Amino acid sequence: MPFIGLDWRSPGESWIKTHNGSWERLKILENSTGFSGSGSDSACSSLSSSPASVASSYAAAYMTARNRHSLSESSKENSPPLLTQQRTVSESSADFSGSSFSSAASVEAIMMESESTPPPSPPLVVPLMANYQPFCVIFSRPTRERRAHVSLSEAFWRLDFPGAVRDVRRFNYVCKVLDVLISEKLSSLGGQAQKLLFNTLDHVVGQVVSSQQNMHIIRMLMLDLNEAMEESKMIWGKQLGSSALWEGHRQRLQEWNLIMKNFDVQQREDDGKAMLSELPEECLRLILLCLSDHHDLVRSKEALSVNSDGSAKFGQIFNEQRLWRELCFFHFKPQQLKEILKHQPKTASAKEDWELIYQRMKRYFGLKETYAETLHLCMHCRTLFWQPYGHPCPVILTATEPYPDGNLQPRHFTKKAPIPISPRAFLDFFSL
Amino acid sequence: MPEQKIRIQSGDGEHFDVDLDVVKLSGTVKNMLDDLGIGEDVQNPTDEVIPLPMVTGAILKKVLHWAEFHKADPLANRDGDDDTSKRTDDISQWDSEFLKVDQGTLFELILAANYLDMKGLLDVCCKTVANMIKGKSPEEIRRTFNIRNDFTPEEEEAVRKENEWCEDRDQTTR
Repeated sequence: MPFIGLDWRSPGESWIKTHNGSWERLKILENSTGFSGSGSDSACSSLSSSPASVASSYAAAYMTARNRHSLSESSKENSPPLLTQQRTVSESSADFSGSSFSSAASVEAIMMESESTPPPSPPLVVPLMANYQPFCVIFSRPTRERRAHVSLSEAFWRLDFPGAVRDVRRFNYVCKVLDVLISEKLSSLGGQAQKLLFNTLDHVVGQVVSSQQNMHIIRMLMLDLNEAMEESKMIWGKQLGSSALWEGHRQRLQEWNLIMKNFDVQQREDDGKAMLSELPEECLRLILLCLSDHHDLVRSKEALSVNSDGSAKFGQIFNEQRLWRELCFFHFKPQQLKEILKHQPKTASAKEDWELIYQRMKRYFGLKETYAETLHLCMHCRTLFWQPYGHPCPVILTATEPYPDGNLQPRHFTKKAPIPISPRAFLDFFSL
Repeated sequence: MPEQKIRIQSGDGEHFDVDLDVVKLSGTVKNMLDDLGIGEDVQNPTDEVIPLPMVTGAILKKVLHWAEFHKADPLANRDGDDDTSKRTDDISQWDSEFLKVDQGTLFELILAANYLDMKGLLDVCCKTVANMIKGKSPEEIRRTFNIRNDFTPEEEEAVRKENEWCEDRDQTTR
């Protein structure tokens, strides 16, 4: 017998009529406007939202970059119609300011996108509760009782991926998920998942431009995306799916390429305040010891080992073995180190050259991947959640409740620890 | 029972009355208090002022703000072998917001944390600066920190050659 939900289109979904007459799911509309659960009125705001000042500077920096692009684009006479439907600077500002407001504002924004003077209307959805928790229940397979299936786009939305981009602790994890999706699964993604991927990427670009950090990540994502777009075309002659959607993706990619091409790191002004070169040697050493990537160490050496007298001390730090030794201890296990050191030829000075050891070990064992925050899977209710926010586990809640007869004795219950889920393992939950 | 207050004085003469448990986050101040025997006798609080000549009032205010928030934290243990010291994204949201300051103030905070021996603050400040270095080219690092490039083209080429080993596949994607 077919399952008939309250809404015939799909069980439990809220649908909204858009300005062009078609119907769209509420959660998708919320996401496409850059909505995230990290709004100022949600609990996540304490972890992933940005304060007004940061949001405004973020929007300003991103708008400047977009503005530059919009001007160059407007000079083109034969711009495709899709481009004119793309967000203008003012719309993009609405996107980013809207992202830190309630979902009601975001949905209203897209509903009234085409109207110059938005008529007053009641909010479509109520703002999120203060105790909002991003979590997503994963069903391994549908059963007779439970037909619900979680798609990747829904998981993205429920786990607050766009909001997580603004959280320094979750940024790397989200970017790794995006990277795997782009480089390995782009052509097999559904339309909604593609839209979500590109919307999340938009947030990443905005975050990198405003913070001037993690440039390597966005460069890598853009390079992979350019390659993947080309590859997906070569396999079938053209991209599978809606050609209008792919054209939209191509336009956005061009826009981002231009933003990254024109993006310049801000030059530190000589404002009379303390400079990096004024830090004592031990402080600079501590900063360099925080770097976990050999590229950064090598490039810092190149940037800081200048010949001027005042900065000669920098060069000495880079000649120390400690930086490379600690990098080895961070990335490799003692057993692996022992293995390599056994076969390491001794240098003339009878001292280990840790830079050489690092090079060899990197070739043999690869580097360690670490994330400050990872998704966790509850072993009781199969819910994916971010560890600091937790999730409302029905199994644990039931176990801690008193018996119906009033007996307050705790029930027999063994609590299992949630397991961390790597970015690739997260994507394995979905049939892509 | 009200918390015992200690009066400290910044380099520019500003006075701060700070709770004993907050000010003890600084190893330097804690040693001073131990040497002078201040804070041991709760019944007879002292009027003695602790001078901190190397820190300005504005920076000391920020340092005390950080210490007030972190006074209940377990002692930060900055060990070279500790994995977390290399995870530059392992910064709490509060610290991340707290350190959204201009570069000059950030370096002043590093100098103050180093002088005051506040490992937790020094650690998080260093991670923030490391995040400003991560993923940037040498030229971008120079621009970020306003470092003059005194290399001749030949010297620059020699350095690049020396570092060629890390220009592998993943390098090209960066």
